[in-house]
Amino acid sequence: MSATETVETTDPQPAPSVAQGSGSVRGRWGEKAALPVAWLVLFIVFAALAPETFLSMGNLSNILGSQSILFMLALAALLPTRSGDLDLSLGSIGGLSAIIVAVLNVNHGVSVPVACLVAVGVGGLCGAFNGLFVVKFKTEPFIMTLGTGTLFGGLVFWIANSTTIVGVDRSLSMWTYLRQIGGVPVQFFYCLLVMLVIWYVMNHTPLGVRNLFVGQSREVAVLSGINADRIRFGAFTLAGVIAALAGVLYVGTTGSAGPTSVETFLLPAYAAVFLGATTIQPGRFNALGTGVAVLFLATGTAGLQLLGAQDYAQQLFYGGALVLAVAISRYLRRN
Amino acid sequence: MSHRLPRAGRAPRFAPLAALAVAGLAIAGCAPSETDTGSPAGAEAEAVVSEDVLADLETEVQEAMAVPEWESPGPAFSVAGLAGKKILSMPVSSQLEGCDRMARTVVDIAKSVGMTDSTYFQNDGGPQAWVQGMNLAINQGYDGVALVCGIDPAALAPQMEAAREAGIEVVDMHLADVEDPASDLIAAQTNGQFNRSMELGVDAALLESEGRPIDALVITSNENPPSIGMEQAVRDEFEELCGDECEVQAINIPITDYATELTSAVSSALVANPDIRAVFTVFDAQTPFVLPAIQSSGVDAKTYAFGADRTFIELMKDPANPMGTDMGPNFDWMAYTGADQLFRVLSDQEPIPSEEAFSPYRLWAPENAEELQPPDYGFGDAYVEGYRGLWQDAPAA
Repeated sequence: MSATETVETTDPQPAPSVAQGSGSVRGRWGEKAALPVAWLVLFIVFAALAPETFLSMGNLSNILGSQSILFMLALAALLPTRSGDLDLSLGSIGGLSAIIVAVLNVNHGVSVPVACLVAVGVGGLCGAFNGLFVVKFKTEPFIMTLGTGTLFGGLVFWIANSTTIVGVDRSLSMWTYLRQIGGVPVQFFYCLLVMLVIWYVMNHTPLGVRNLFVGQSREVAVLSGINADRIRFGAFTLAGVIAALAGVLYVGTTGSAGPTSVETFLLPAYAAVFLGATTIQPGRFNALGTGVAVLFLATGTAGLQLLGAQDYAQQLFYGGALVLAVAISRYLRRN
Repeated sequence: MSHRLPRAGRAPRFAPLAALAVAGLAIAGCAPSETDTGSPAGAEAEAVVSEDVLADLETEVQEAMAVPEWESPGPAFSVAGLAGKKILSMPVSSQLEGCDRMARTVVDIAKSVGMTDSTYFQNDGGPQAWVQGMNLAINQGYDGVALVCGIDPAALAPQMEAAREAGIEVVDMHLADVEDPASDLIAAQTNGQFNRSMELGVDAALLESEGRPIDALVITSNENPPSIGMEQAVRDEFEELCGDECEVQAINIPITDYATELTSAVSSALVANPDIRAVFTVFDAQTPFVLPAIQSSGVDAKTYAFGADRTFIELMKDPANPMGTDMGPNFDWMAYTGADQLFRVLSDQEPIPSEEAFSPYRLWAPENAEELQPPDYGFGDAYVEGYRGLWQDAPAA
């Protein structure tokens, strides 16, 4: 499976076939704003159904703060996806990071900052390991990261001795989930910062343009003189680092780490990435779209929970969003 | 040369409509909140539990917090005939530290009475793994199988039948609540006081509120059979003590979804009802996901859990963690109780009736959490000598 999208090359002149006339312009803007508008409507619907609770600061804090692990992991998943690859090991890298923080801090008395640095470093190494095997050995990323993900998952079980480790120093929770800015857990702003950095690099630097070319059409990029291998390797490595940050947020949120702690966020993260590709910059995997998608999913989940929805209703929402995201993304690629 | 991405056609413009349709479907799936009618709690509310009843509850809670005493479950019997036999011990999942340790302890105990070829079957949980374990026991000529931590025999009915035909005695350990009927698929079982744990949690919560009405949230995982009865036990106890004044709400979160859903679900519940003062967890593995939700909400609620996993009892020692009680077993004691039941059926003795075959639990609270110390972790060791005394003619160690 590849996330590579088709690309259309044009002259520097305005594209003749697309975006002509005010109707097309309106359509393009409508398309860009589709998900944010859907999010807004969803917000209004839930606010109307449960005005006292849904519009409360507590709920806003829940929407923005409780899904930060998903948010960070989605940003990790965005990078290889944008460069035309897929990394199924990110959940396991996050889990490995979480368990390293917990084991170092709880079992070996290592301070939280050092434990987090080690974990993030290991995340980067895992990402580089993926990049090495996928790029240098020219293997299929789906299969290779499926394998490395299982390998990293095995390491997690080994290090954790198959148990949940609790009692991580409370200072980590203070720096992630418990400390709030404007009523919102500070970890949400970490995610926002990472998202904005990715957005800036992707949209306003030569590196971002090269990354886009590699993701859209690797062969064209190579023929244009772009070192596609380096771009892809970098994307895998950085994704490992950001996935490790998701693991750190997990430990901060729960004060613990278990063998399958972050893995379960992988599919929702990809749901957000694919859903995000339908908005802001439709047809491109983009950081702002991913952020909007995460918030869309978080709003839907929180609203359903406030209305007393059973677990299956939330799964219906999540699953439906994922199906739509993949279908729409596929449709965009074909067109 | 510039690169231009393909423009989407009209269909993607329907994306928001489709997304909203999904949301609509999901909203349609919203059942009315699982609440009993009741009025919100408040610090100013008058007590609904009388002082006499509160005194009784206090006595019960204090008794449950004390070190449990061992009582002989039945008559002594000879285990001489067990020498040369072998059992296979299989936990519900090797990832559950307590269950894993219990399964290994059962093997050690079996070896100590002469069943030297007994083995432990490591597995990652789930019917597929359990079927493998049962097939191994049947094919390798084991005499007995210990299913540890409540592997549902109904999920392995063909294997249970095959084991019976092969002459293998299967004992399921810590299977169901003591009030539940015994399974007829297995030779014998040991049970747990799941529902009693929840009742004592309710009692402790009402003592904490000094008898004033409180609202409660129960987090269930209904794929785990005792969970359903435990939720009902909470509802029944509140109704008995509090009438309609206490509101009980429940959320069902599958075990596999704890990481992704539990924290936000509890946060939402606390936003929806800030009068919640007690969060009941039917499985204390939920604790790491519930505590941050309570702490960040600013709601003055506490957890009342089942499980008594040592790692979570340790958390009670930190006053920053809003934890009320956590009741559960000692896995080593349960290993002896299960081994005793298994030895009885392998020795052609009458098994202990399922309603009497259980290891006592201990109620943990911040007040007694310091007593969680090795080697017996707050349960004493009288049960070891007690059970050993029942197993007569055992080979010398």
